[in-house]
Amino acid sequence: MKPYLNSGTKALSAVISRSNSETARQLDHQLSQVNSSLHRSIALGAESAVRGELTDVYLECSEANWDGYNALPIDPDSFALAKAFLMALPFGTRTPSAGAHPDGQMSLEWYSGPRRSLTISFDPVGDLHFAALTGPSRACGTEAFDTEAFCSEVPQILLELIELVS
Amino acid sequence: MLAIENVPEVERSETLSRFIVSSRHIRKSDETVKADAFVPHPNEELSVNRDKEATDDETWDAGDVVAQKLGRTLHGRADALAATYISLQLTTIAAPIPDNPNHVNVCNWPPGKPEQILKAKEIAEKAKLLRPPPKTSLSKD
Repeated sequence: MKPYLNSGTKALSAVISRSNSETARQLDHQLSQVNSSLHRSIALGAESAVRGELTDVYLECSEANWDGYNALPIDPDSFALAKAFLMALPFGTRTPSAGAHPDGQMSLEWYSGPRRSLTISFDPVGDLHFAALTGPSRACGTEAFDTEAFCSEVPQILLELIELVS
Repeated sequence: MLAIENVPEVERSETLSRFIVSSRHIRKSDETVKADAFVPHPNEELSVNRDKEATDDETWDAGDVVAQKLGRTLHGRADALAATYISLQLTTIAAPIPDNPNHVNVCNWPPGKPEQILKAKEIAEKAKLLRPPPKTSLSKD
């Protein structure tokens, strides 16, 4: 499936962002709700498939030392960031699996076999730390993710890496 | 197990075990270990267990101790050679603790989280997942 809805709402968002009227703000809010409910209604949306697992991991790892090696509890802001990221993924994106890191950050992993995987860690400050093995190549870095934007945009490099390891 | 008063440096050929007490660190699809299991802690050390002078049963016992302290289940252990860690510019430091002289800290992790995840992924690629042997209870007739 094509990420048609995200493209359309992003364009509309750009128009709305140039206006400060109350009408525009109401429209912004309504469009956000439409986007959210549509996302939930599409069976292939990665968000709907993983959201339950993400919550399970959050609850399992909400107390210190959940891994037996003195891990920090998952930060609620990291959990919220991971959820927002899932919501922003294009429809039809392959479903990741959820996990947790000992520094209190949630993680998502796309894995299709040896040396073909991507892991994203959700820093509570709003950064996405990622690392990928794509055959003989590897990549890692940090990208910002703005959850306050009307239509949060998944960094292009992450979309490309998800495609590569799917 | 090693004698705690005489613990040698870790050699490249030793096997280091990372005990898995979170089922989410294991991919059930192909029985492999996720990189999440090797991401170091904020203090930048990763605890593992060396096999030097230890039987397989003693290594599993060390894992059971970790799990029991937590009231968690030991789901397995991820074994990788010390050479795997060293080839990633990590250092393996013998760090005996009172109830486990075979404890080792993996140190020298890069400060950046992306670089840490990348190294964890490389280790996970090389690691072999072992599941705990079934518990047997012997009874005398």
